[in-house]
Amino acid sequence: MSFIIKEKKSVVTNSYGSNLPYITKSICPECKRILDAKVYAKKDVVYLLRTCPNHGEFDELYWESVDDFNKAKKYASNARGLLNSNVSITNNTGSNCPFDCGLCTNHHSHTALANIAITNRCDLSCWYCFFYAKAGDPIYEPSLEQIRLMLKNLKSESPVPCNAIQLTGGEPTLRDDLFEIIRIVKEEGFDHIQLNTTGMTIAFNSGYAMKLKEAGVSTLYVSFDGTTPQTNPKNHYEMPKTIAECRKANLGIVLVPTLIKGVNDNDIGNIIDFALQNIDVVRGVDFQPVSFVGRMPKSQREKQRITIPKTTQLIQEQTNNLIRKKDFFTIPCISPVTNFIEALTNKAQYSLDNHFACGMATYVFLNEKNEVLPLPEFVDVDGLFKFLREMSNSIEEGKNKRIETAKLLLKLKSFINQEKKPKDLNLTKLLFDALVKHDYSALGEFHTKSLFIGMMHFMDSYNYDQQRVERCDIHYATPDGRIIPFCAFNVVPELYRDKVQKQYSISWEEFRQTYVGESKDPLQKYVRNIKELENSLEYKKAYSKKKYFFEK
Amino acid sequence: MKQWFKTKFGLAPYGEVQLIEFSFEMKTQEDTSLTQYKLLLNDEIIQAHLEFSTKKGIMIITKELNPEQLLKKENIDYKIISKEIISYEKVLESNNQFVK
Ligand code: SF4
Repeated sequence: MSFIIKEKKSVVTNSYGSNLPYITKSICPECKRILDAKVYAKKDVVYLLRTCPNHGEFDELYWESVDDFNKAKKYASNARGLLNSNVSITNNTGSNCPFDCGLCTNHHSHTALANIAITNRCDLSCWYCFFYAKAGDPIYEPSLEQIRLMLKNLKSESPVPCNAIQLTGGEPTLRDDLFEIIRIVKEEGFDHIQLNTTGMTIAFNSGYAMKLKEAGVSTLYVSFDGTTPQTNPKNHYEMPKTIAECRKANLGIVLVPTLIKGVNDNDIGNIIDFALQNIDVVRGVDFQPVSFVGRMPKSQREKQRITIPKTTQLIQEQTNNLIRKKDFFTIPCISPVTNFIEALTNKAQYSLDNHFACGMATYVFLNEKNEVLPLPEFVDVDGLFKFLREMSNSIEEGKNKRIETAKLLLKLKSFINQEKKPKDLNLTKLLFDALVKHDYSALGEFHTKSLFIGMMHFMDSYNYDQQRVERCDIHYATPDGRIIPFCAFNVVPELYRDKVQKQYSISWEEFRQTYVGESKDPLQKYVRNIKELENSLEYKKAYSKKKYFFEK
Repeated sequence: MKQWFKTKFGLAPYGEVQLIEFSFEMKTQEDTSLTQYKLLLNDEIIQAHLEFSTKKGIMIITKELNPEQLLKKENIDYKIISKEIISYEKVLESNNQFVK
């Protein structure tokens, strides 16, 4: 089809989807030289190996299981590419990837989710955070005008305009004009607005969650690293209040645990249990296996590194096999659905063509008996996607769309186990409506009766793979008009995150002098009163049944 | 107080900048990429791209900076092809898809 480049080739590395071992490109974590790198199997584990002429060999854990890697690889989809790029001075080859962002014409994915950092102020001071302004640091807060232009830029992506924004920081709720910003995002036509927050402002300002919901925020994306004060020092005490406020406002939350081996990997099952206990308001858990900041000795990386296969294995172990490894699918598995709708409509669709090793996900349901039921327990996911792939090929080859659609209707039921599925879930109708009528309203119902469990493994300079970054579909917009893939933004912050923020920030003193908002001290830090929080009803209730669904 | 410049893309940190085109000698693609990286580490270099296949480079740098000194500092075997003062607004315009 002419509207989309379905067979986009990389000018940097063209081994995507090959069998192990294969050659890709990576960087030297010390000097950032771009190096040929080998992705290979050693015993049952996948590693990424490269050698810098000046800094020696780097052999890093890539994925903990060859089997899982191969299963995910099956879904490696042809990325589509963009028809318009941002940075024209690169001559649009992107051959110095990742130093040509972006987006350049080598980039493979349109923006599925755009981050706009609206402040680097934060009222917490987490030791591991690299983003917030420490005392005396310059303050970065793009103006409303700049934010609007970033949004316009994202909306202009062709052939698929961006439709989902994450407002992030620092702590975005510290901006007094946050509601004005949300209004602008809506005005510019974005359907999904996610707010990345610690939840503090929501917890302590009754009605704030409701205001966010009314303004148009779809979901809160809230860090939640565990169910104890040890595993979650950031917001363990406050989270129950945040949840209670969101419950009142019917505002959905996605919990975001950063996973570190030996720190909170024994709390994974409890986190999911906690989410299920709050399924009326918690829409999902999005685990983020740790990515390291700056230089770190190999011994420490080996101690703390966890990747996707280990995460799914621990989920299986810590949920008493109720949610199993095999229930998880790589994100681009969804591409047969996109292809099918594209074939039917002849219109480019929102796609998730990121690298298969970037993330995995599943959905779990609570049935009428309050039992945990992962979606693959009652849907033949592989079979359905294979069938959709065949259907879209037939349509593209010129077969009659009506006949193919009728075939779909007849066959769809056979992929769903009617006995096992939750009784109140009419999945056949829901899928047919979405696939053929393009009516996605029912999918909202699907979300509220289910819990999304996903994981997204952002890279660091040690496990950096250019095949992944050039397919990245989670981007940052910056006020200079560039759109920068997440892992480029954070793996080479000296060229992107830090550099742009330095250009567009003002000094701490100037910020203090010119601040005209409502806060008495816009740079004040949050002070926790543990006793008071522990004694609150919300707190006692939230953590009273640590193991409810996964009790042995 | 930081000086800002009014543009149709909001307040910008630069008013006018230099657009430099140059040719260079480099043995490998990897050396070229690393050189581009090193150039970009300089605060005064706003954007830069070195094209190994054509051995041509392009940089947008602050108005005050001497490009020759900079390229020498990075030990680049270069020849300046052109120097031009442009408004930073032009750079912003070229990065923003909605004005293209
Ligand atoms: S990460 Fe994407 S935008 Fe950046 S240089 Fe590579 S291909 Fe281009």
